[in-house]
Amino acid sequence: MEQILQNLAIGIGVALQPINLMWVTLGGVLGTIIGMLPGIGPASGVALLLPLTFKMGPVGALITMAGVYYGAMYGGSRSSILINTPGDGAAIAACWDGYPLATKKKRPEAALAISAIASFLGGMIATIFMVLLSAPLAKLAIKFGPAQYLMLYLFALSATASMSGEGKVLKGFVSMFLGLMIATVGIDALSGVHRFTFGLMELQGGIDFLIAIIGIYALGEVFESLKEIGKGKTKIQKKFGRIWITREDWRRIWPGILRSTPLGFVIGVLPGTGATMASIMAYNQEKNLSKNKEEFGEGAVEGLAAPEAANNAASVGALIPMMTLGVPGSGTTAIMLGALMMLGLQPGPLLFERTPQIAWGVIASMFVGNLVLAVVNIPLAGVLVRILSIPERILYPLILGLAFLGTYSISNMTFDFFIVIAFGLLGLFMKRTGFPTSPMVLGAIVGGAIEEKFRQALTISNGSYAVFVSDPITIVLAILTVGSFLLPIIQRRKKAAGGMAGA
Amino acid sequence: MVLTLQVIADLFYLVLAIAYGIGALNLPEAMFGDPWEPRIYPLIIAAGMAILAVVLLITELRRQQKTGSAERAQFKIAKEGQIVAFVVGASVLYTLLFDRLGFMISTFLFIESIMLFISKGKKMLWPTVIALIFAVGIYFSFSRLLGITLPPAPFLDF
Amino acid sequence: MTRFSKTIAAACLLLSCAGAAFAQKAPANYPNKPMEFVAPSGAGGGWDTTIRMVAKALADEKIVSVPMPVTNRTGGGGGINLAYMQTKKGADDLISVYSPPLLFIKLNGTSKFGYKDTTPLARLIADYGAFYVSKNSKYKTMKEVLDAIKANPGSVKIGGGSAAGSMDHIVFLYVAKAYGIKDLRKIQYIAFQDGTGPTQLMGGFIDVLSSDIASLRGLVESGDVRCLGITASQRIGTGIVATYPTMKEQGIDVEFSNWRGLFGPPEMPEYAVNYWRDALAKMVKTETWKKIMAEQSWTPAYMDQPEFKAFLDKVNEEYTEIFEEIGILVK
Repeated sequence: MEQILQNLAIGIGVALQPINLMWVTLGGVLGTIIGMLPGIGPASGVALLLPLTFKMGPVGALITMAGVYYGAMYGGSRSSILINTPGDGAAIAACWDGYPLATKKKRPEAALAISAIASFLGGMIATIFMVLLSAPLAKLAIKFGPAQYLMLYLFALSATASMSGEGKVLKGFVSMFLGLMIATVGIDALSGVHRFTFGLMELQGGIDFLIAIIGIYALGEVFESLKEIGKGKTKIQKKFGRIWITREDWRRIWPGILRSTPLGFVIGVLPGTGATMASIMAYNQEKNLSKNKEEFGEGAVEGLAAPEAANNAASVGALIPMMTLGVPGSGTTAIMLGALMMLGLQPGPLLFERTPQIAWGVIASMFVGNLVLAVVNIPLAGVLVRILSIPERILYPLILGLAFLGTYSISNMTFDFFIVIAFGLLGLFMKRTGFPTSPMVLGAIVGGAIEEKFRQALTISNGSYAVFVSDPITIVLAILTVGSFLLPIIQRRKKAAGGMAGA
Repeated sequence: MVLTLQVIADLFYLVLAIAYGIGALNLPEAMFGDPWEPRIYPLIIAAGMAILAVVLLITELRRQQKTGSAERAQFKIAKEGQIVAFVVGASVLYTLLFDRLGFMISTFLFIESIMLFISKGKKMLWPTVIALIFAVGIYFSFSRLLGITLPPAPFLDF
Repeated sequence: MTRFSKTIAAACLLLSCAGAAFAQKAPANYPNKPMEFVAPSGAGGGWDTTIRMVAKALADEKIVSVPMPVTNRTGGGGGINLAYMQTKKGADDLISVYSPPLLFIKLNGTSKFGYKDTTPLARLIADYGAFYVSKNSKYKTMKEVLDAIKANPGSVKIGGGSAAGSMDHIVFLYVAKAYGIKDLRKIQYIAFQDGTGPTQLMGGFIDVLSSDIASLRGLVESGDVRCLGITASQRIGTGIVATYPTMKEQGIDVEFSNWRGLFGPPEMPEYAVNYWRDALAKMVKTETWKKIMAEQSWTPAYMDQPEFKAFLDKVNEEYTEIFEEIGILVK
């Protein structure tokens, strides 16, 4: 403990140097802005800084890049809440309750404040975890082989699909299978076979789930809103209040924030999972534990706070395997790792020993950075909320423009525009026929990994399926998966029984 | 059986699952390890989806029988159809012109056309100005500040 | 068509003809506008690092004065960018970095284009394959690993960061082939494309990890993993890397270089080719470049265009042979 405090003191000394204060503010603000633009997420933001890192030096570079990473988590949900288009994958869960809260319930100020507060608390608490637990957690990352990952993904999937609401569970699973199908497009990494690419080189790398999300949400929102204009309805809001929350809101959100922060953090630590999965899982957990499930999807404050805390916590957790093992936890940390190596720094278990001023400087800077972001974000929200006062005839064409711009900056290929359009239409069709889209999105995110992990695990075990229940981690996850199937059924039974008794 | 929108959707997923399953069966053999390996997982997905689609279809048909009510799907090109058709059409055109005309010109035309459609051609001064600022502003801020290269306009040297 | 749009169309046509006519003539002060430097993979990877370092060295040493922003055009194992280069035939402002996968993607059928559809400029550096085991592994030498495979091909699980039939996989097969292992297809290779290979190795889920020299340096230094050997012909680098034994030291007569070089689009104009050959020849002699090489544990392997072309023809034959042997050659 004493050692930790000593190190932290070194780190704070580094983080409070004026130049580093400047970098963390710059990184955080840049991340917020980049996070808001659909499609341009933390990975592009960090990549953008690469040429500058040579001038910043390792400490400055890492502090700025980390700032962009968690700053993007603050920014991404702004567009989810205001225009129902996630700024990046991790902000998708903020659409589900954040947008209804802002538009249906006409409380955009509260929605933006909740997301900022939850992000801040998630980031701060996760940084404390990182100070105390980074060494043991790095060991947890090693315990996760293909079988463990597979069970984790299966749990996340079945929990999302079975959360689809009364009478929609089957549809939720159809939607999930559709997502899994989408994920099989491209070159199969384990055998090199081209699957469902129709001979198109553009499909060999698969369909980027971010592009699918842009199609479903941005185009979906435009279709939906333009229809309303025709009916003479208007959603625009002219007067705005203070960006803050009520005591009642706070009472409802704090337990969820405290629950989803550790969850998001652990998911973040596991290499290859990332903030998107963390926020979706946190949303499921909160919906599952909530007493008023019906309110979820209609603007429940808990449903916005939980994933917001989780994705910030995950972005902090993802730095652990990168710094202590030299293994990327996500696409963004992969680029940060590359940057470290370009600067001649060697991430690994000895990074903390050899260059404590760098490792601890970055950690300390995250406390500072989250404070700065909270201070910047509340007034910023006061400006952003006015997006809702832009007339639809101007706003929605611009959203379409941003959607395609974001798509292009992901892949530099206009071919992907067709994918956006196709997913826009698919999303509309699913909505009209009552199929939820979120299981499909999660399926598309983890589908590729599920198959890969399944086959990797079987290759490693020489074909024995026992590998999927071989250790405590897999067994616990297997029980949770089965439980998530059964829970809705049990609840329905209970309800039915209760109804009988009442009658 | 009445062809409700619900039935159409269920049939769509059933057909999709079958087509996908056939596609999976016809995949080339793997060059390493078990030649069947790349097909197994797609086949599981296809089977799972097909079964669920059939269950949904049966449930829907039984509901129709029971209640006797079934709203036939209506293929009227209503307001929504028009909007979707226009947005999709404009987007496809935008995609085709994007590389040829460069980001600025194609984006301006795209946004302007959607604005014209929504506003029905009235009060177009402000929207036009905003579309212009968006196209030019994004182009320069992205290529100069963010280092994300967007297709340049032909014959203009910047 | 209105008269106005007709005029515009005519003007465009005229301008494009004019453009084509002048295309071959060298602009007086080439290069006079920003170059497009391309890494055909994501930011932070080997290709990306190489081209960014080239851009940095050229700028720092003031050899090239125009901006050289790096674009990451990812996908298809480099094939997407290769296809893009075909649309830029004759352009003088596009340069990409490539390495053996440029040849692999044609051989394994990922791309219909190959190295012949580019203008090679120069080979710059070499990296090498390296094989790692975890600290408690029973394998102490590469020979032990290969003997175990010889006895029972399924008993050793080889992991790598690239897809089956690409870099990390082929390097291992190259070594196995040199050792006299016949049934290369039976060797169990598991691709971890999400970069988790090192944790899988430390967790004991795989036996051997095939990777490059720099990525696992931190874990070797801390003693969590051991390097069993590298595919260079002699020891390289400084510090801990210099302790990595070569294959030849262990009696396995093989060398595999993961060379990296720069390529222009097909039919790149001669003035541009000459300019960049000259610039790169100057660059490799600078102190900045030498310092970068040392930091990244890269081996200098500069080769000017004519030799580089001959080299590409030679290695293409070698690769074809091994692809044929594994049975993944697409003719």
